[in-house]
Amino acid sequence: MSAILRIGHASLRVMDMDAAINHYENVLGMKIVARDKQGHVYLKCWDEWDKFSLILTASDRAGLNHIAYKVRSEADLDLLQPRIEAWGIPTTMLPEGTLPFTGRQLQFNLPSGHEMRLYATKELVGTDVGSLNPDPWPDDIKGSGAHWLDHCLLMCELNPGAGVNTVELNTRFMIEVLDFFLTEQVVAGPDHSIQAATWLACTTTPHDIAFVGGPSSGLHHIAYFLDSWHDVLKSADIMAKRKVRIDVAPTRHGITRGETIYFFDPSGNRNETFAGLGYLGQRDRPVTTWTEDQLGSGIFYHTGDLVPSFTEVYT
Amino acid sequence: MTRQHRPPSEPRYLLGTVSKPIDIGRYDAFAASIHYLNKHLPTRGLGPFSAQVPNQMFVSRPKVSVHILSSGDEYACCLDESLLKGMARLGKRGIPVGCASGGCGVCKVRVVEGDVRKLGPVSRAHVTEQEEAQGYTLACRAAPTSNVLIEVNSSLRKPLCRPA
Repeated sequence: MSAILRIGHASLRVMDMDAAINHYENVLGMKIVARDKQGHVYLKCWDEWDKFSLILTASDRAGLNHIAYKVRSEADLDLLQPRIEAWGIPTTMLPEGTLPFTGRQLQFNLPSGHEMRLYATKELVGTDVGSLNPDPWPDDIKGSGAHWLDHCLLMCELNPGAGVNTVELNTRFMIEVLDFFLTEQVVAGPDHSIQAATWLACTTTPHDIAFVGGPSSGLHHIAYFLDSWHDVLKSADIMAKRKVRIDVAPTRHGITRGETIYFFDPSGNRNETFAGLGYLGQRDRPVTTWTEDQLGSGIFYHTGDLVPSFTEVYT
Repeated sequence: MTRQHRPPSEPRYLLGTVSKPIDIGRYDAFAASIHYLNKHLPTRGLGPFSAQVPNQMFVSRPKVSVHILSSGDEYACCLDESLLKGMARLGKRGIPVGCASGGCGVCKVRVVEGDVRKLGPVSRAHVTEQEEAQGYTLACRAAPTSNVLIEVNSSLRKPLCRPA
């Protein structure tokens, strides 16, 4: 069993803080839980029980600062640190309080360069419906009413000509060290020897993180969970009302079976709201493989057409 | 064959038509734009538009010409819309409309002649201060204030320079 519980939070760079807050509050439906002296803004979804799942930081550019996953215990951090180092990745243990409401963070960079942090402790505040005889949902839901931050997709440098494949390296690292398991993959090249994209899980969902090859590393999207296909439609309605730039209108992925919509925050960071379990992610479930020639169907199941902006645009 | 570039001049009015609606997300909702026009834009002599008029294909808003140096393309661009939005109306497949929010950098251009107005922040990861001083910007974040001549970067060059 993986020591990793789930995705914990994402720290995003935004170029217009007020516009970003408006977006994450009124389109996603998150709530501000704190602001710190540096001007960072912390938000959470109504169905999350830890203090925050998103940090917004003002910057002159868009993109991801770091992505964090929660582990079961403080002891797991101490166990994982030497394992990560032994795999060849330097780490730093950031002391408690480096981030507000958060315990020690084990900080390192994935082979793709993305900063990842693991932590065991974050202030527990409970969901908006509480834990005692709770209602299924609260009355003050705004926008899409996203339940929780569910996963992220990181674009990872892939240059087969130069022998660079950080998708494969990241995937190996997540499996060998963090005990994730592979659920789906895209293979490319004449003999299908290039692992060009992977979806990995530590929970029972089809993915808790995904890596897709590209010319440079970056953030493809962070994704939020919704209950149903109808909620995805409503989420799109909210975006229409709010003049949000929709990247991909509601559709289904072949990969992970997700019912989905993609859109951009006001700084160009891509978001996803999606619904549906997809399937039960299990360690003994045969890995689903998509070949390069069927990639269009894997990504957009209905049309089977690759949308250039979806694969080429990221922050 | 490269068309002759007209020197920047005063904005002129064109009875610009949307000859081929291009889906670039929410921005081209025609009725919404008419509504917006009625509400916010001076119509200067042409009278208010009505969203109720069927087949109202004329968008008479202040427009200028945008010339693209490398491809020879020319398009009319409203003063209140981004260079990218106007460019997308050229209808050439593959015009990289990305995040349209200044973050992803796929629509990088250089303004060679003429003036533009900044519509919002442009990511420093894609346009450095030095580049900005040289006229580089993101087409999604710049609206023309005069006729302009732009040069497109490599990711835009391919779709623009091949036949539609």
